[in-house]
This record gives sequence, C-alpha cells and structure tokens, in this order.
Amino acid sequence: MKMEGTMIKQHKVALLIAVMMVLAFGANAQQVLKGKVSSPYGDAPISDAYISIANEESTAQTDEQGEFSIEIDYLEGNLTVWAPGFQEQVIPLLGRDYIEIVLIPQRTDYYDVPAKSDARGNMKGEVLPAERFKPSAMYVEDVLQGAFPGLNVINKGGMPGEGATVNLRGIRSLTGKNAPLIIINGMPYLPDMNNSAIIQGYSPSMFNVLSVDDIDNIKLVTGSAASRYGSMGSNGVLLIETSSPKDMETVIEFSGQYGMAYNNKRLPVLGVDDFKSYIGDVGLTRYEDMGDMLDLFPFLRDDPDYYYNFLYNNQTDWQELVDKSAFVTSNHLRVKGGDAIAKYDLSVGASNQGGTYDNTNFTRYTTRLNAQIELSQRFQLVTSMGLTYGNNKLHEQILNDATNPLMASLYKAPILSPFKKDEYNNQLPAYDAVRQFGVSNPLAVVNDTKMESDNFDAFLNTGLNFEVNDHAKMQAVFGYYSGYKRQSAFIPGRSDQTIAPQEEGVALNTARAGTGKVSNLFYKVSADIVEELAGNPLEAGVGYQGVMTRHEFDGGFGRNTSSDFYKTLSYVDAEGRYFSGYHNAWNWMSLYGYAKYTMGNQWIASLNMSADGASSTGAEAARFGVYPGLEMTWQAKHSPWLKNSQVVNQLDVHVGYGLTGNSQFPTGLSRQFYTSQAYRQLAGIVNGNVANTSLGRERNQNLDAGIDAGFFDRRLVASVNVYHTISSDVIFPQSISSVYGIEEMYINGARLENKGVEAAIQLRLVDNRNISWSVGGTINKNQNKITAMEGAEGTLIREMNGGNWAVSSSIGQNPYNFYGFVSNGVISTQEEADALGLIDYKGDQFNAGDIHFEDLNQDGVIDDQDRTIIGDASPDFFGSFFTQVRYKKLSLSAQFTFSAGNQIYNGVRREMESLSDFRNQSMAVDKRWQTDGQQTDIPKANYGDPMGNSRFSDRWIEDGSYLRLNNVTLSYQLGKWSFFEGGEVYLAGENLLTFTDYLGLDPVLSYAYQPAWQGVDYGAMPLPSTVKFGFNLQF
Amino acid sequence: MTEAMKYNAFYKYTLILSLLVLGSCESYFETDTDDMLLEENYIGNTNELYSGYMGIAAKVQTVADKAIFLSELRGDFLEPTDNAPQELWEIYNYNISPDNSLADPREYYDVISNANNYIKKAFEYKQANPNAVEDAVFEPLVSGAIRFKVWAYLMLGKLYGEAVYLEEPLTEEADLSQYPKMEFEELIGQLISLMEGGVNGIDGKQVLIWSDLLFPGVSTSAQDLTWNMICPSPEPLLIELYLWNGNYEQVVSLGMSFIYDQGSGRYKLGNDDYNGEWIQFFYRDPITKTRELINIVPFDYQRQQTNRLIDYFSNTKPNKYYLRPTEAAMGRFQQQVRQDGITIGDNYRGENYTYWRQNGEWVVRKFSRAHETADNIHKNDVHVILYRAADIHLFIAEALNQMEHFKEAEAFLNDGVQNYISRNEDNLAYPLNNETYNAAININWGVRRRIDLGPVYPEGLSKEDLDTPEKIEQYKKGLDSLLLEETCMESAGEARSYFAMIRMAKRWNDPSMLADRVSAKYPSGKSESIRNLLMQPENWFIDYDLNK
Repeated sequence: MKMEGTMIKQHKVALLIAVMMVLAFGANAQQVLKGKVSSPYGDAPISDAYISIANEESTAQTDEQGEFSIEIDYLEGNLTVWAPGFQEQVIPLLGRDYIEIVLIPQRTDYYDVPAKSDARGNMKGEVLPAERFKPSAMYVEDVLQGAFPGLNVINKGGMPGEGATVNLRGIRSLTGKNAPLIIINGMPYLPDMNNSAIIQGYSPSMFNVLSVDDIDNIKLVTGSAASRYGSMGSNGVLLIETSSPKDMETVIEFSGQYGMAYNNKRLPVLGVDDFKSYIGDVGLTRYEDMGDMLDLFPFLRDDPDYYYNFLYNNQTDWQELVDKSAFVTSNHLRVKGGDAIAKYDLSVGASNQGGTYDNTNFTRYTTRLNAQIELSQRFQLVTSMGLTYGNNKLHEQILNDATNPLMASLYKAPILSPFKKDEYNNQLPAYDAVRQFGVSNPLAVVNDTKMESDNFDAFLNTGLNFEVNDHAKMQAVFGYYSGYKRQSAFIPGRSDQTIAPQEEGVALNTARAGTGKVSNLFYKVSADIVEELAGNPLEAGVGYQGVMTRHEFDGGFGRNTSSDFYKTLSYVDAEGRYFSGYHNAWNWMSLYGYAKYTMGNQWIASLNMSADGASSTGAEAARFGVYPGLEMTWQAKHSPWLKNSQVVNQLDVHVGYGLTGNSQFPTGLSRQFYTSQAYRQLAGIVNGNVANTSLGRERNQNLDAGIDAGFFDRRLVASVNVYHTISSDVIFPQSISSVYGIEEMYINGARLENKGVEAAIQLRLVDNRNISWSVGGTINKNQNKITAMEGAEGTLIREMNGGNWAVSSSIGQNPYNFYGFVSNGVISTQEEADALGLIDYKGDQFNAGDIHFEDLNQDGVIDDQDRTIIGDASPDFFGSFFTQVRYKKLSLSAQFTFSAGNQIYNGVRREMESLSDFRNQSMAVDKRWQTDGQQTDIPKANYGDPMGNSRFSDRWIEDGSYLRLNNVTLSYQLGKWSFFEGGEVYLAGENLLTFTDYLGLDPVLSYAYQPAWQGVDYGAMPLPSTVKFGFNLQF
Repeated sequence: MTEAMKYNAFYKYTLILSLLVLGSCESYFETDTDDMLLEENYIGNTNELYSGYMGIAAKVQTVADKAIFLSELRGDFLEPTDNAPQELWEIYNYNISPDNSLADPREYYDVISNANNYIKKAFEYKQANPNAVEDAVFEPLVSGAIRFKVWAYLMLGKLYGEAVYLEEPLTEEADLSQYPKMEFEELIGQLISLMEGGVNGIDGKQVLIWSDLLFPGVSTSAQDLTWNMICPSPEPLLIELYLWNGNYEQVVSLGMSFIYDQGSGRYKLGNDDYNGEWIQFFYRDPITKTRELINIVPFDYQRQQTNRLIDYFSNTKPNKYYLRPTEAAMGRFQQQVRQDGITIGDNYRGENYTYWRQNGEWVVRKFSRAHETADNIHKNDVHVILYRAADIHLFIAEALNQMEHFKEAEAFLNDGVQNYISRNEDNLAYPLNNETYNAAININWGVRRRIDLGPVYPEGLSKEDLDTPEKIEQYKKGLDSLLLEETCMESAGEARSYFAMIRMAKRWNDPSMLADRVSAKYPSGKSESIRNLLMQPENWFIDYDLNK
C-alpha cells in the first residue's frame, strides 16, 4: 500500500515506500471492488451504469439492483461512473473496496453556479459550459451576466450591439487596461476599446466578433492561475472555447429566436400649461422688456385670433413618438461530424436586433469553421476560422438634441407639432422646423441623422499537435485576428432646418467618417507532460508565446455640405475640416511554465509562471518580469474521515498567491518622441513627451483563499472566496513642473488595494424525477482603495468634458470619485440668504431661490475650492440570484441581478432641471422656488443660470442601486421523434422589471469601457424589455 | 532507458527553442508606431531642420494670446463679465489659485524647451552632415530659435518676475534645482548676453530671408512676407531688453538705425496709416500692413490654428464674451484732445475702434472688425502682434526721456519728426541731428498725430525753465507718465501697458504709478484693497509654483 503522503524527500522514506509497494504487488495480485450506484431520487438503483478505472483494462456494468463488482490490481486511482441520462462522475478510490455512488442526473437547468475545472494542462478556473447558457442569450454578455462570482457585467445601454463593460474585482489600474484578458481558442484577443470619435458615446461590444451559439464553454480564471499570462493577467482571464467537433456522428443543430423589444420607461416632462408657465418665468429673467419676450413667444399672449396659433396649439408627447417597439431575430445553423481522419464543425448565424428608436439596429452575420484533422497517429491539425460582419445603425448617447433622440424628445416643447402644419391646422408631410426654442425635431433626429458602423472581423487559428509519447505532447499554434471597422455619421439640418445647428451654430450640417483597424498576431509553441513523481501524478509544461497588436483609427471631420443630400466628407466645406487619429503598437512575449502535483489525492499544489516582456515598458526598465503563481488545494473530501461521508460530496479548501502584472498601457508613455503640430500650411515637429524611460509594468500581488463545497448529493453547492490584491507600481500621470513645458509624465507611482469576498450558493430544495426546484446566486463585495500616490499628496482632479464635471483620485479613496459641490437645499428667504452672505467667485451673492452650497473652506466664497467627493460608481455589492422550477420537461426559471451602493451622475436630470433656458424641463421644476419663504429643493428659474445652481454637485449624484429581473424563461424539452433528435422550445422575457430609486431611465449604464467613465448617465438609451420565442433543435 | 533519452532530447529541444526565441527579441520590443517620431530619428534630414523650426513657431502660436489675458486683466484695460469662468476672475482679483491653468507658464517653457531641443539637435545634425545645409541657412535658423527662446523668457520675466533658466532641453525627468532660477534683472542680463553672444558662435541677430530660401531669385511674394514676420526680429527684441536693462543709449542708437531701415519707407509712422487706417493693423491681412507690423503670430482658422481673442471679447454667438473693457480704460480715450485743440475724444482709437457698444454691452472691438459678419464671427484667427512700429517709437521716446532729450522724445510721442525738423531746423539735437537718418524718417508723424490727437506735455512745467535737477526729474517723470498713458491707449489689449507700468514704477521706485492706474478699474470697496496689494512690488507678478 502506498502511504498517503505529504512531501517526502528523504531517501529512506522513499526506499521504504518502494519496499512497501513491492510487498503490495506480491500480496495483492487482484483486488475486488464492489459498489452500488443509485440516483438521488429516492435512492433508486441505476442499472447498466458503466464503471471503469483509469489505467485498468477491466470494466463493469451495474445490475438491476445497481450493484457491481470489478477485479482490479490496486484499490487506487480514479473510478469513472457513467449512465445514460446522468452526469459522469470520477471518484478516487482511496483504498476503498466498497463504494456507494450517487449519480446526478443530466440537468436541463440554465442556472448552475459554475464549477471549478483544471483539466489537464489548463489553467484552473470556473467553467460555464454551453448547456448552462440561457437559451434566449443573443450575445456573450447575456451569458456572462450574473454567472461568475467576481465578474461585474454592466450593460452600456440599450443601443443594440453596444455590449457591456466587464470588470473583475474592481479597478486595478489607472492608465493600463482594466478589463479581463479575453482568450479565444487559446489566442489572446485584444480589441480596440476606445469610444468612437465618429459616433460619440459609442463603443462596440468587444464580444461582437463571436456568436454566442458558437461557444462551447467560457472559463474565468481569477486567482494565482492567471500568472500564466504574466503581465496580461492582472485583470483575470476569460477563456472562450468555440464549439469543436467531438464525435463522428453528423449532427445538425438549428436555433432560432424571434421576439419584440420595447421600452415603456419615460421621464416625466412638463405638459403644455406647465411649460408655458415656465417659459414665462425664465423669460422674465432674460428680457427686461415684456414686449421682447412676447414677440419671441407669442403663445404666451392669450389671443385666440393670433394668426400663428396653429403652430403652438399642440400637445405632443415626444417620448411616445420616438419610442418604437422593434423586432429581434436570430437564426443559427450548425453542422458537425466527420470521420476518423477529419472532423468539422461548421456554423452560420444571422441575427438582427432592433433598438427602441427607429433607425437603430444591429445586424450580424457570423460563420465559423472548426476542424480537426488527424494527419497521422501522432500529428493532429486543429484549425478554426471565423468571419463576422456586423452593421450597427445608431444614435449618439450624449447630451445633444441633434443626435440623441432621447434628449431631443425631452427638450422639445410640447406645444409644437412634429409635422409642419398649415394655417387651417392641417398636418403636412414634412417634419416641423427647429423654431425658437432651439431644439431639434426628435422625429428628424431619429429618421434623418445617420450614424452607422460596419465591422468586419476575421479569426484564423491553426495549431499542430504532436503526441511525442503517452506522456508528452507538443503543440505549435499560429493565430491571427483582423478587425476592420468603418464608421460614418451625418447630422443634417441645412436643408430642412429640422435639426439645430451644431458647433455653436456654425455647423448647419455635419459629416464625419473614419476607419479603424486592429490586428492581433499570435504564436505559441508548447510542450506538456504527465509524469509520475514519487508515485503521484505530475502535470507540467512549458511554452513560449507572443502577441503583436496594432490599433489604428483615422477619422475625418467636416461640416456644411451644400445640402443635406450630400452626406459624405467629400462635400464638406474646407473651413472646419480636420483629420485625427491614433496608432498604437504593442508587442508581448512570454515564456511560461506550469506544474501541478497531486499528493495522495488530497493535496494539490499548482504552480503557474510567466517570464514576459512587453514593448510598452521603458528602455531602462527591466525588460522581463517574472510572475509566479502558487496555489495549494486540500481536497478534504478525499481525507480518511470524509471519504465515505454521504453528506459531504466535495470540500476543497484552497489558498493561493499569485503575482501578475499589467503591461497593457500605450507604448508611447515611456518613449522620448516628437509629434507634429501644424504651423500655417506646414507641419512643425514638437516635443511630444517627457519620457520616463524607466516606466515599468504594474505589479499585482493577489492573495486569495476559498472553499468550494457540495453537500447532500450536491443538493447544496457553495463556494466562497476572499481576495486581497495589492497593485503597486501603478502608472498614473503625475503633473510635473511647468518648466518641462509638458503637463504630465507617467510614473509607476501609485498603489491600489482591492479587497473582497465572492460567494456563490445553490440549493436544490426539491429534487424528484418529475419535479425539482432550486435557488441560488452569487454575491460579491469589492472595495477599491488608492493607498499611495507618489508626489501627489493632495487630490488629483480630472476635469471631464471641458470642466463640466470632475472626478478625483486621492489616497485612501476609491480611484475615481465624483468630485463636486455639496448642496444644502434651496435658500428659502432673502433674510436667510443675507444671513448666509455667500457669494460666488464673481462676487455675486446667493439670494433666495438659489441653492445653498456648502462653503467647505469657509471663506465665504463658493468656488472650485469648495468641491469635495460626492460619490463613486463602484458598487459595494453586486451579484445575481436565480430560481428554477421544473415539472417533467417543462421548466420555469428566473434570474435577478443586483447592484448596491454605486452612485450615478445623472447628467440628463441636470439638464432637465437646470432652469436656465427655453428648452423643456422635467416635471420636477414645477416645484421651483417662486416666492420668498417657499420651502422646496428646486431653485428658481434664471436664464443662463448665473449663480451656477445647476453646477456639478451632489444634486445630480444618485443612488444607482437596483434589483433587476434579468431573465425569465419558460422552456419545454422535446423528445426524440423520427429524424428529429431532440431540443427545446422556450418563451423568454428579458429585463421585464427593475426596482430602483434611480430617477433616470435605467440604472444599468456605462458610458465607456474606461473606469473613469463609469456611472455617467449622458442620455443612454435604456435597455429595452424583450419578449422572445425560440427553439434549439437537433437533427 | 530509451524512453528517458527521448525525454532528455525533448527537454533539450524545448529549452533551446525557448532560448533562441528570447535571445533575438530586442527589436521585438521596439515597436514603432506611425504617430510619433522617436528621439533617435530626429533630425533625420534637412527637411526636418525646417519642420523643427516650424514646431517652435507653432508653440509660440499656442501661447501667443496668453499674455494678453494675463496682463490686461491685471492691468487696467479688461475686466471679466458674468460669463467668465473662475480662472479669469481669479486673475482679475489678484487671487490666483494653484491650479489656475491660465496662469500656468507651461506653454512659455514649452517654447523654450522646443527651442533648446532644436538648437541641440540642429548642431548635432550639422556636425553629422556638414554639407547638408549651407551656413547661410543654418545659422539664421539657429539664430531664430535663439530669439524664440529669448522672447519666451522675456515674457516669463514680465509676467512672473522670474524664470528657471535652461540651456538644454528637458526631455526626461531631471533635478530642477540644478538649473538657476533667475530674478527679473538677472534674467534680462542673461537674455542680452544670449542675444549678443549666442550659442556655439551663432548669435541671435541673424535673420533668414525666407524668399531667398524658398524661391531663390524670384522676387518676394506676399506669402513670403508673412514668413519673414513670424520670428521676433533681433532689433525690437534687443531694444526692449536694453530698455528694461536701462541701456538707454543702446535703445536709441539701435532704435534709430532700425527705423531708418537703410532708408526704406518702413516703420516710420508716416501718413500712410493715419486716422481711420490705424485700426487696420489689428485685423487686416498682416502683409498689407508691413509699414507698421514688424513681427506677428499668424493664425489660420481653416487649419485649426486659432486663438481666443474674438472668442473672449465678442458678445455675438458663438463667442463667449468673457472679457470687456473697463470704464477706467475707456475714460482715458474719451478725455483726449484732438489736434484742433478743442474736440474731445480719441477719434480713431477710442469708441468704435478699440471698443464699442454692441447688443447693449461694452465690447473690445480692436481685433474683430473683419470678423463681425455672421459667416466670420466664429473665425478666431486674428493675428497677434509681437512688435510693431509704434512700440519701437514709444521705446525710443522712453529712452530719450531718460537721456533728457525731452523735445526729441516728445517728437516721437506727439507730432513726429517731420514737425520737429521743420520747427527746429537750426538746432536739431541728438538723435534727430543725423542727416542721413532724417532724410528717411522726416516723414514721421508721431504716435499721436497719426491718429489726429493733439500733443501732450507734462503738466505744470515748461521745458524752458528746467533749471534744477528736481525740476528735470519731475519733468522726466511727467513725460514717463504721459508715455505710459499713451501706451495704455495705443497698445490697449496688446499686452504692453501693464509691463510699461512695471517698468516705470520700478524706475521711479513709485508703486503708485501702477497701483493707482490698476485699482481705478475696480468697484469702490475692492479698489482700495487692490491698491494696497499693488503698492507691494512683489504682487505685480504672478506667483506660480514651479516645483509642483
């Protein structure tokens, strides 16, 4: 018998073991293993279950009573048990000669907490197999939402094809990339994640290149295992495997879904009477002469004979006009099969998702071919190719009424008509013009502005596997990704005057166009072995891999084509025309290795390591960094006192330490370079940078510990994980002395800490053959904190959007806090105002009806020095929970997602309560201060807002906590019938209910991928509610 | 055993392969993107020698309007409107917070850094490629870069009263304490010696004639004339430096030779640009005004090269109307007496010219007259003047006053050399006793006569009875005051008058020359506290922390 061992190094002990093993050989030529296999449904025995043992010839099957008996050499190794309709189970024997096995039925449930996997040679992570994908998922984000503990997936908005910001465990970098590394079929995929310069507020989903139907499984690697990707691994690794052929049997799969998306959320705006009263109010602060005002706003005169009354006698609900229900369809066909030599998996997909404004949609065509060819007994060729074409029709999601239908419909006066009218009040076919309120016609915005993005993506990935012998294999992989995008925008207005001029009235119409190109070139050679070491299995491997990426975007911008008919850059006026773009190249290479050693089935030690370098680091920084990650796991279930327990199915305790880095920052930061600045008609060369040639990688030390457990035949599954990440050498732009002539220099000077807990639990409350009910969910807590910022002791303020608002970073705080004024209600009486005696930087006093801003530095003046932290967008908690009920083949499931403690800057409400011009306002302004002594929280109307009552303050920072019914699915499993192999049909509802105190349209929003831009509501289209019917069929 | 050997070979090859790949990787990490020129590749060819020079000029363009806002808001010409952001109010209130970006001298240092870098790189290039560029081109280019640098330092001195003096570019982090921080006087001396001594034997006095370079043998075209104006000319720069340094003889001798200009008709304040034409200097195409404009910073709206002058001054949309003329400054124009000796008001520089009333508000009009139509009002590309003929004449007059050549000083200020010569035919005095010069400059009308204003003289004293040193000093100070008043009108909005106030207040050790003028624009309560503040000379300069 072997010893159940820990690390044994002494020769004596080894010798002893050898002697004992020899004895064991002699004594036990054959052992008999007996056992019983049953199902969890009332312990019913399972007959005809297959039993086999690794490295043993003999197999067995269970009899009617579920019992089996098998002769084997040793009572060691792993027993594999499988029966049709049940999940395969692998159980270490651990010397037992009788074993009771409960097989868990194959489930058709969509929700299941992801299980840990560390299949041979792969990094350990949590795996979500395709079977667990919600059937109604159209995009990868739909699958990721709420699925993995620690992973926060925040929809950017309701615009189709925009995807979501994906973040693991908070903010870890201030300059580098903050999103998980995405690996598709083993190849790093590094898309361009900038917001478009052509279509403002838009960045496409990074997962648009992949159809969710083509995915076989998604794995999230969080802890020390991520060290295998060294300086790319600091934000976790999301590994996506696309579907590959497994069997020779030809299978045809077709899935389709068809539904409607609609939006029933509206913001309350002033109606006709309230609007007129407001115009009169604010007009009095603009025009000293009542006559001037009445000339401009004749509808304020109550004159039924006024000729032009027909222009102003409408009651238009603009939001209602702009919102439209839209169709959502998706079709996907897959054929897979082959023979012993070549196997293939070919799929084509087409989907079309309409947005809830007209002229918004995302159409996508995908095709993918994955093939495996056995070149010889030892050589195997694995290739995968994917092509995607996507077309987005969009509107801008910014605070602009010319391009954002939402803003136009909020601002637009309700008294105006959407269409031109004649004096007899007859509606004419053309859209009505801008008119004196200066707001674009929302219908024209929806129908006549053109914002479009075309994306062409190609993946090619070819690998050669060589099986050296039973223990070793080698692999060489070459991969290439090319993404090409073409974007164009046209804002009309010159011909019909239905859209307000842009650029302060200078641009009667606007044309923009740009192209972007991304390429990722990847190569890898690796070798993996499986060996026995001191009687225990050792898996190990080394490899060498590299990525070369290029990101380029070039855009042209112009205005005033001779008529709105001409929409391209070639017709724009020479004046105001300009070009801009960026180009970034980034190379990375890594020599990596790993080893996993299992001792006596109980202890697993795994090491992942990378020595890598990237082109972004400075010439004087160390070229290579070494990133080790070590994890110890104790599989307590396999210990003597638990191995026969029927209560405990799994109890793994793991603790790991991993060092990763972040070298994903722009290559230029560490270089001394020159750039170009035009001078008259010539190009001048100017200093571009104060180089920090010793700029190095950011360093992330991650400590995590956790427990994964399963009880009562896995009726209760739970995992909990705590982590503490210390990110040091974090790069930030340090402002440097003006003497340099350059504003800032990037240094490795900050330190961030992330602490958190992630937990997942799943409870199968009822579990019978005919009926089951389970509940579960994940909850995550994360805290980001800056703990050091070299040379920046105070608060680092970053003015956003030209000083319109600001975020701050300071030691002891979250990396990006909203930074603004603190308000304390509206000053009710002039007496009170005089007593306060607050003035602004101009010396003007805050009077009754103005906001009482807190004078934080107590100098009597309200100015920029009175700003402080007023919130942040990072949630305290987030997660999801689900419930699913099955009756026979019918099941009903629901998933909720939630976020708590995150704040949102409601930029839309700031616009709608600014009380500073003649655009329509929110219903809340009915409460505006009008008379001395009035107690209210809305200040007085004042044209131009001279006292800055609507400045960036805590008035606009709202609690963004929410609970959302993310998905409800009712599905029915179909049986085998004739040529039809099976499948399912379902009815799904998405985003049907949201509970939140947030006053905007949708608390789930993200302006851009960059962490500084989270929690900013700039008029994002709300995520629509969707109802779909769909099916997945197999032939 | 064979199995083990196979393994060994396997490990060996894996190891060798990895080492091979890692060994040949240095260039792999030298990614070269297409939007930056790496340090080692510059200056790579003669063309880049010109591009680098243009780069310095582009940086001057970036900073050109800054001094106008910084000095006129602290002087007596401008005040912020209710639209103005906090930054401008802070400057107006002499209460500048540390993160005020308008008060940041960074962009001047950017000019200096680019000039230093250019000078260094140009010499390196010349050394490596001795025959690539002729000395006749190379030397004026370097000399021009020196003058860009001197100009930027002079602006720093005038605005901040001190500067960190750099001989080399700062392209990497450095210990700034090793570079001297020079006070104003020291800095001026340093700049004079840089102008005269230069770098590696090339001084700051060489001028590149762009037409010779661009189109040899072809007569100068209008376009080239603008090129010739983009870099501060050696003489005005030196004249101003000498004036600050108190080298009055040098101011006069260099100034006279400069306005004589080898007998040409330029820079004479003649009758070509009199009366209503005066205003055209500020908005007409600079090449049509080469009799007045010596050096300018050109802008070009179509090429996104703009400044903020019209944007901040105009109250027509889309401009912001941040700044307006003060009552105090406008009052000065209104008090002037014309040549007829009766009519009041500066007819060609005052209302409707330097400022006017538009949409019910007072607006600085000086720069925007060509831009007032709806299709032009947004084009913020009016040129910024670095030096013009009137500056030189006022400088000469100021120096002559110090040299006690009162009559001659007054000639330049009031009604010109022409009248001086005809009135004093028999007793011409220095410097107007030079027949060669007189032959050319006798067309001079003087600063005030050019715009139809009558002469001014120090009050209460006559040149004829200056019999005591006290009276001479009193007259001198009186004339200085008049020159200062004239600068406030002639150069309103051009970042001149506040510096003249500093120069004279320093010279007479009388802070009230500055404090009284500036404080007059503030409302009564504020006026007194600003006056008290400005009675302390250290408050004349912007205090900006360079150690951040």
